[in-house]
Amino acid sequence: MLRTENLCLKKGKEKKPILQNLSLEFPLNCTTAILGRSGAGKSSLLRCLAQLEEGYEGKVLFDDKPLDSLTSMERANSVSYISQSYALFPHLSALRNCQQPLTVVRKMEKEVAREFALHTLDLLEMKSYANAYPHQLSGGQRQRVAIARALALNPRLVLFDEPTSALDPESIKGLIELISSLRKSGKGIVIATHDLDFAEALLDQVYYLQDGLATACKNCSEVIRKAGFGCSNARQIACSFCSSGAGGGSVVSLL
Amino acid sequence: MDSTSLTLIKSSMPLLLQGALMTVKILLSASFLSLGLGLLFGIATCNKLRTTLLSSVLEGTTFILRAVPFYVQLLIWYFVLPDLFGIDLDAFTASFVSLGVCSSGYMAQAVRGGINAVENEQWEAAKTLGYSPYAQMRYVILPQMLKTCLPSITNKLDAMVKSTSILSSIGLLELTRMGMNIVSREMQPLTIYCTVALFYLLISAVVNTFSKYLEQRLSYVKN
Repeated sequence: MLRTENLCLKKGKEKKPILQNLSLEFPLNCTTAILGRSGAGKSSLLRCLAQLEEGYEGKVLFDDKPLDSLTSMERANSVSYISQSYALFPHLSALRNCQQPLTVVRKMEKEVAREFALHTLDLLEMKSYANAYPHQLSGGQRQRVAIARALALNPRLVLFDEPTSALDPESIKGLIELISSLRKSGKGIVIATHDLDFAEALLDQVYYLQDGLATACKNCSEVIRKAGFGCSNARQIACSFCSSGAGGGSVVSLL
Repeated sequence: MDSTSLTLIKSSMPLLLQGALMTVKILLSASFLSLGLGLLFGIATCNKLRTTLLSSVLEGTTFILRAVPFYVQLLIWYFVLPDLFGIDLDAFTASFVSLGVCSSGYMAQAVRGGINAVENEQWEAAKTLGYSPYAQMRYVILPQMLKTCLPSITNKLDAMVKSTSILSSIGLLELTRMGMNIVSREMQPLTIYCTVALFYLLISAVVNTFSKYLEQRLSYVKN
């Protein structure tokens, strides 16, 4: 399980607090959505979990080991991060994008890595585009290659940052199916999004972020619908949930 | 062009070819040296990897290399350093080292600019995939940097081709020096220097053709 302990992040010259004292849990075999308005700190939280933010305070632990104490290979085996823009390597074909991490990080033989990469692309229905370069692919196809690249390393938990931001409704439907199948295969999924419909279709638990503070809920699709993002304070979600009794789950305030 | 000129060109050709060969040798040696040093300096001074002390020292060094004229640097390498350190540098070594080191200042700037132009998310993607810092640079950043800074590197190689003519001042028998020697004997500057110019044109054309070939190989990288 991935979890944070008293995670704080400050940015800029004025040390503006972005994340404040977050102690959150992201279990495996579970889809966690991080919801919130733009600027609420969703991406910053994900970047802390992926060890891309420097200078955060508190701890990010994977199976109770600090993530920053793991070697780069151990970290890649534990957590994978798919950014909003997918960040495929533009000088490599889709196949080489998936193959290279296997040869460079996993030290696999080139041919074995190639077969493995082709298999992963096939799982994502991208085998026929194996020789295409990223700029020759559509947004949805690029995303599938990015997911294939991340999955080729077989990480135990995958972080998605705003995965629907560049996708049409049909591609979003495909993504929901894909993430559901990943979840069924036992992987932990963490998604930062402000797309409520997308989150509702997937989530097992949700953290609502506002002004760097988080509220955690379980079975809370109705809570999200009720509170929406018009909610002025994250605590109001918890209050509305408790008063209505909807969802049948417990609400845990982590503030 | 009359038959006398053609006869002179024909009779001078072995010497001119010998000079051209020396020019190419110097150019190749100096290119490898300047690309190697430029790569090291560029990597150490790029925004992502810079460290306060080392980067400042290297930036100061590359500034000096770019600010002092190549001719002066050549004289320092050939006449001053042997006196200071008691090293005996022959004309060839002094030539390619001075040209290579001088050009590395410009190469470093091109490499630094190319690395800085690679988007931050590429570094991050490589890091999250578990690439070591060396692997990030080797497999992700440098291939993308190459496309961005290839035109600058070609420009500098072109400039280096022309700078080799300055090496005639320390007596190295390169193309220009050979031309000068032939002119002093034959007293036909127009014919000989035009032929020398054609040789330089040919060498530059080869450099540019190779650069164009590399650019085409890298053209799949969309900016």
